[in-house]
Amino acid sequence: MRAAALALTLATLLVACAGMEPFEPPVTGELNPEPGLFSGENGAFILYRSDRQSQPAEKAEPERRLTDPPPI
Amino acid sequence: MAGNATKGRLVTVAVVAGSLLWTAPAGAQTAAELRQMIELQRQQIEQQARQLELLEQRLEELDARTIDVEEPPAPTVLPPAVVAEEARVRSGDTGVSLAISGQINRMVTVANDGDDTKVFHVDNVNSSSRLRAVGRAEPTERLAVGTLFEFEMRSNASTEVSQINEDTGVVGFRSRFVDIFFTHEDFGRLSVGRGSTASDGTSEIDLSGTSVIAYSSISDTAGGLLFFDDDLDQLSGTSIGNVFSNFDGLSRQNRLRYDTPTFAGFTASADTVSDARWSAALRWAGQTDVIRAGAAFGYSDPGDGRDWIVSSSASVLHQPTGLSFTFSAAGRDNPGRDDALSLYGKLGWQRDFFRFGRTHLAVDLARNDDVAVEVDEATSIGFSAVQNITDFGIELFGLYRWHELDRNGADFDDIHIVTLGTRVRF
Repeated sequence: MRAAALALTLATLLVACAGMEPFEPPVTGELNPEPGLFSGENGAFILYRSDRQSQPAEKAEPERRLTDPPPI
Repeated sequence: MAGNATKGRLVTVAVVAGSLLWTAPAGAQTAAELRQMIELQRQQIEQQARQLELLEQRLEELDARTIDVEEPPAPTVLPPAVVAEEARVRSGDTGVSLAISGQINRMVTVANDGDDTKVFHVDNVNSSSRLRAVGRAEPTERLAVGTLFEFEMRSNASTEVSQINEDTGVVGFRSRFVDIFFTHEDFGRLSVGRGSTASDGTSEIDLSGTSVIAYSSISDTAGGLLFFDDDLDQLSGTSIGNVFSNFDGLSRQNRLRYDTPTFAGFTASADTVSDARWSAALRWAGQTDVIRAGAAFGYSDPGDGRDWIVSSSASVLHQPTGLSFTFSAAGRDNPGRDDALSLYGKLGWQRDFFRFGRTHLAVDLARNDDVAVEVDEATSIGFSAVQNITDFGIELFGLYRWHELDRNGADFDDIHIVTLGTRVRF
């Protein structure tokens, strides 16, 4: 009987909880994502790595001299 | 000689006269053209003057009218620098980022131990001053790999100062997190390094918004202060931190931790910790338009001669009224004597009195039994207030707290503290 009541309570809780949207509660004592005095709305200074910066610079085409043969 | 000079002057005059005669027709032609150009310019200037007069008349007519329609809002225009930065990120973002953040959290505490009153300038250990760097990369759409470094610098920590040690001196950095994590949307998260254990935080779910100065670990505010023993007429060796604890699992340790993905708001966690310890936890959080709630339960094997720590907490916020209720219950095995118990309750209220940020008020009650010594009974009541200045990441806070300790064979005076402080995130 007790086991059934416990199971029913747990099932009710699970159903009730399932109807709610999940959210991330603030973690007590930690740096939660909130605005910062200098960093602004992000709350952090964020550095990104970009493909453009990580790729080596393209080699410039050498200047043709008048004596060079014409391109084929 | 004079004849030569006269001849020279005649030659010079003849040359100049010749030159003038030679250039005279061209000069006459240029002057005519110039006159014509000047005439054209004069006509243009007169025409522009007339246009200017017309425009001035039109402006006066517009000024005379009353504009009674609301002007449309100015379109949102990002500064060029921001536009350029966004373009750069969008065009080249590889999902790799490094976020650097931190905070300074300081306060001034006035404490009375029943015999004396002292002022302490401390770092607020409720959420210490710290610096953090979080790196994150996403090798695939569903997998993220990251690193977390976090160091704290607690200069004159609020848990360490006491009546006999008012300034603990300069301190170095202390590691809080040195952690690597792998997060997969389908399989959960694996963390390795120094960081939160599965049970960390299970006694500390709190939606009141006052945890920067008051939460279940009440000893974080002034844990080093010593109780004054009236029987002996001297300070005892027992501090607030000795008799108050929220038994928050295994806190942060060197560990390997796994968290399941979240299902219906539930997340299960487990870890194995250095020195043959372990812990496990179940967390839940959910919200509707009316209610926001969270709960956690943890079980830990703390080692060191103890068998278990049980920790739990729950918090509910009724969003329309701003009322919140927070509860924490925890216990710890004490070898050879009664188990230690921690109970904590808090009633909170939050409201937007000011445009610049929310105000949080709370009253709490904490009770600890058998923590340091058999049949110890420690009780505390606190009133806390926190004012957010949201856009600037600033919190201003204040607290009054009363601490009482009943112990057989001793007569401890109560400790009263009043503290004011601020936390600035940067």
